[in-house]
Amino acid sequence: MADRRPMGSLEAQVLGVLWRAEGPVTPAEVREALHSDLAYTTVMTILSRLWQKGLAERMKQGRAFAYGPVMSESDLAATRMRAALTATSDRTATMSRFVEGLNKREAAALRALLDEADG
Amino acid sequence: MNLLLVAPLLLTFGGAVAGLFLTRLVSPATCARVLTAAVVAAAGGMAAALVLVGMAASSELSAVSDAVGWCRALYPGDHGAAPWAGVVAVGILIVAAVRGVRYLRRVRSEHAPYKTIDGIEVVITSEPIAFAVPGRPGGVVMGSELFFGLDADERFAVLAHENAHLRHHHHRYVHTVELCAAVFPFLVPLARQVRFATERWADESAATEIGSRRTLARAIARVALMSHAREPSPALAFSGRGSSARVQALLHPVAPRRFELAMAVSFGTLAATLAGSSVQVHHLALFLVHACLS
Repeated sequence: MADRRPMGSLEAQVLGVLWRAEGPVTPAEVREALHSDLAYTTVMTILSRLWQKGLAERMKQGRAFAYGPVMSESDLAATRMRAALTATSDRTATMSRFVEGLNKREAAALRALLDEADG
Repeated sequence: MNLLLVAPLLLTFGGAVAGLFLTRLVSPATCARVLTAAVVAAAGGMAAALVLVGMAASSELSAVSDAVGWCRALYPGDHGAAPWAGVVAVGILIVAAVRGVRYLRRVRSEHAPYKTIDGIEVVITSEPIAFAVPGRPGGVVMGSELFFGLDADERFAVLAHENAHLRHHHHRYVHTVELCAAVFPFLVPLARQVRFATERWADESAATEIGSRRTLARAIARVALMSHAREPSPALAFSGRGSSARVQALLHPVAPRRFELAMAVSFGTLAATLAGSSVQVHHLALFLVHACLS
């Protein structure tokens, strides 16, 4: 596809690696796990962006940093003060939200489907 | 109203209604594209028809007619464009314009807080939100409770879905048809279909990326039920068109119907709508040329 990969997409790829990893991972390990031709510096940049946003933790490992996922909301809040975005569903009506509202019958149908997907 | 005016309008509406059946026949991407084109054509045709009626009626007024020199040859005799019809047409046009401007303002004000979003942003809120913010830089906003409430695979699925919206520029389709629907509310059902088609499109794209339809289905169901627990929606105008339909489509993909049939319906829909609206615009153009030249 001619389109450039959006930053969100690269960040998601890298986060995916952090979430699947057993422990902290180095940028080189992330790059290897991605199986892509991303430059090492790009991976570094994405990791440090995620750290700045409080979505990843980092720790010194030898001379470099190793990164791990942030697992809870309290870590998220402690890591970084975020801009108070007033994100509520009635103020995002013109955006593409992940799910729309549900009525009772749909909720029941979804619970059945969820059992099916889990099973 | 003379037949020349009514026939294209009927054709336009017919094409638009036929579009409603498209979702079952073609891929979500084709559906979104064809329906968006149909909606734009229908809105254009409708606007042209209203302008035409307004102008035809004003040509009946001797004051206007003398001043501008309308040519009556184009609509000879009693074509029934009575002044009251003109007033109604112009009234509808004004209301439509106001509604359109209001919609654009709403989009702008809703997007304003997210101008600085660059990549993935987790916002601390218990509201189960996740949405794509188009534009540059653009990104994905997720509520913290949703983010940490899902397992890693589901979270990744949500991100893949929202990133698919950005990659395929879905906001262009959605904003275009919702503007048309804001202007002419008879297009609201079709606009909903386009929105649903973009959701299905993003689902298919994300399922391919993560390599599991089941994981994405589970993520949609879980987020939808979280939202439901907070504020159940009384009723959807198109029930069965929301989350459960998406989960259903992911878990039980329907083999695409016969290709020719699907293409025939797509092109039929588009052609009918385009034909309808282009006749409309053609009328208007002829009218303007006569008005200006005579």
